[in-house]
Amino acid sequence: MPQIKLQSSDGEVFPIDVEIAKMSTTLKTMLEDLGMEDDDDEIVPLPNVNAAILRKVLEWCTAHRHDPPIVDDPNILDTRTNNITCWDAEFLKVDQGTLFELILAANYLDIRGLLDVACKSVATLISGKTPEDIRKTFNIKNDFTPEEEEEIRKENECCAEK
Amino acid sequence: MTYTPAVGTILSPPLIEGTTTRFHLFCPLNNTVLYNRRQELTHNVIPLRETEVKLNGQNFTEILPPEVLYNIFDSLDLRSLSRCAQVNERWNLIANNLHFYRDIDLKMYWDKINTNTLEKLRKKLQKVRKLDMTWCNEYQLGSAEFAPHEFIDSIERILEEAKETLTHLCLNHASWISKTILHRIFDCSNLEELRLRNIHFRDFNYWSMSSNTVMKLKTLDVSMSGIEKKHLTDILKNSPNLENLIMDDCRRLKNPEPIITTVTNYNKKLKTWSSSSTFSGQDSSQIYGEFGKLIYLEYLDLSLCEPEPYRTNCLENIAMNCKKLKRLELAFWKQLTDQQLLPIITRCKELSHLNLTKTTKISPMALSIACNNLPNLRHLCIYSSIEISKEMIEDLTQKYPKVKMYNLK
Repeated sequence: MPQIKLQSSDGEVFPIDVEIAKMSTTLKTMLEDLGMEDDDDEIVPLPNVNAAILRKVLEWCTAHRHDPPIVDDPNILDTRTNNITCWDAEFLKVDQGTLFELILAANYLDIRGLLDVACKSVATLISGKTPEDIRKTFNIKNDFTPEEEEEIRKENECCAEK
Repeated sequence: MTYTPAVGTILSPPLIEGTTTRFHLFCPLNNTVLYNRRQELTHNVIPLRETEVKLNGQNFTEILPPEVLYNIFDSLDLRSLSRCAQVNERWNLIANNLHFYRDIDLKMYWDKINTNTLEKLRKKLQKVRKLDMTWCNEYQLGSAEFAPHEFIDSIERILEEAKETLTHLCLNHASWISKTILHRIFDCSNLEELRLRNIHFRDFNYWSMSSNTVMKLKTLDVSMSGIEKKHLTDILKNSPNLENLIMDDCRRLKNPEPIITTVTNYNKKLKTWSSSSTFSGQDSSQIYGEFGKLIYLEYLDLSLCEPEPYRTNCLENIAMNCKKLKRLELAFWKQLTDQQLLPIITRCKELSHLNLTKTTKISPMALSIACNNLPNLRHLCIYSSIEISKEMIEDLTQKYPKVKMYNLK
């Protein structure tokens, strides 16, 4: 199995199968554009991803390497189904810092499946919470003036309840 | 909560021996914001490997690029979006993006929908593709007829603004539907699905509108509505792509002939015909044989529409021609005999559902033939129909385990 080496921002080198690396569209495009040979001993630096997160990302990719590619079907409008698999749910039981780091890494490496499932996981943290609870959960500062806040509350009250 | 940010090599990835600078090219440019943010995060930290930094109270959502927030918000429902819009300015801006309001189901808010709330929602519905306003009308709590003019105006404006984008519209039980609203609906040129259950259709005149407006219509549900023969045939004649026609319990249709004649001439792609308890089928029920012309038919519900005395002709034609038929409902065909059913249960090999509820003359023999002949049969409804012993049911169930029998008295 051909391999390449990825280096995390903090210097750790991860030898991985090319097949797994290609689950990242960023890496796939790079490998194709640069026409990297399989036996190239070059190291790909990933300045945005530290070792702990890269290890997680690779763990996810390894578990999902046989997943069918994600196809955008314009007929499927409803993305609001919560279809996080048990494995993913277990995998994403991490602190918020790690979860957001994972999202950033998945976004940077362009790993669609991981990005989607991690975003869904954040969405479940939002779901069912009041605006104040959401602020508390994510340490968000309320930057509305009391007048603005009241106006926006009225604007949204119809569907915010229940 | 402990958070270990990537420290050290954030802005300038070091050159590793054996690598070339070319890899720097693939650091996405749009991550500049992210870099800057990260730099801020780690500004006061000595850039050493494995330095642990505690960042309690960090707002992680700030470091996410907008496209990622969009991805997160994409899986939120209307209620959560309405709450996110109240969090702060950034969230408000993103949560109010029309992108999230393309598929809107207002059913569960039916008692909250009044002129005031609807006007506020209207701004967000300008690009709506799927809109379900079943039951929606706070005023329904009072008299069913009552809804203020302003409310009707608001609905009209919504339909006017979304007339290019709307593909699916469901206004079941919307007692406020007036003639003008109906005209607005049929002006929505991209409609593929239209559900108007339990609607009056009072003073409706299809031809007063520009023609060819419902060209794309695939599904029409007018069950329990007051739609008249003339309205329905006018719509059908202009919907060459219609696949599903549902008109259960339409009290004013009565005679099936004009509908069947129109459908067999103008809607040849029809897959679903459901007219449960709409046609009493006394006079011109010979027309039922025409169903044989609908060769794409998959689902046929003729419950409570027994065609006296042309059952043989009807079922023979269906069995001969409707090769794709998957589901056939013949509930309350009280005079139906084994002989008349035989063509169906020997020829319609795709059949998976067969409903024979309240058919008094069918014998256990016919069931046995159906189970034996129809490889795809999964559901067989015989509620209060034939006299069949427990043993026989058990015997059939054992012999044909894939077929589920429904025979509760």
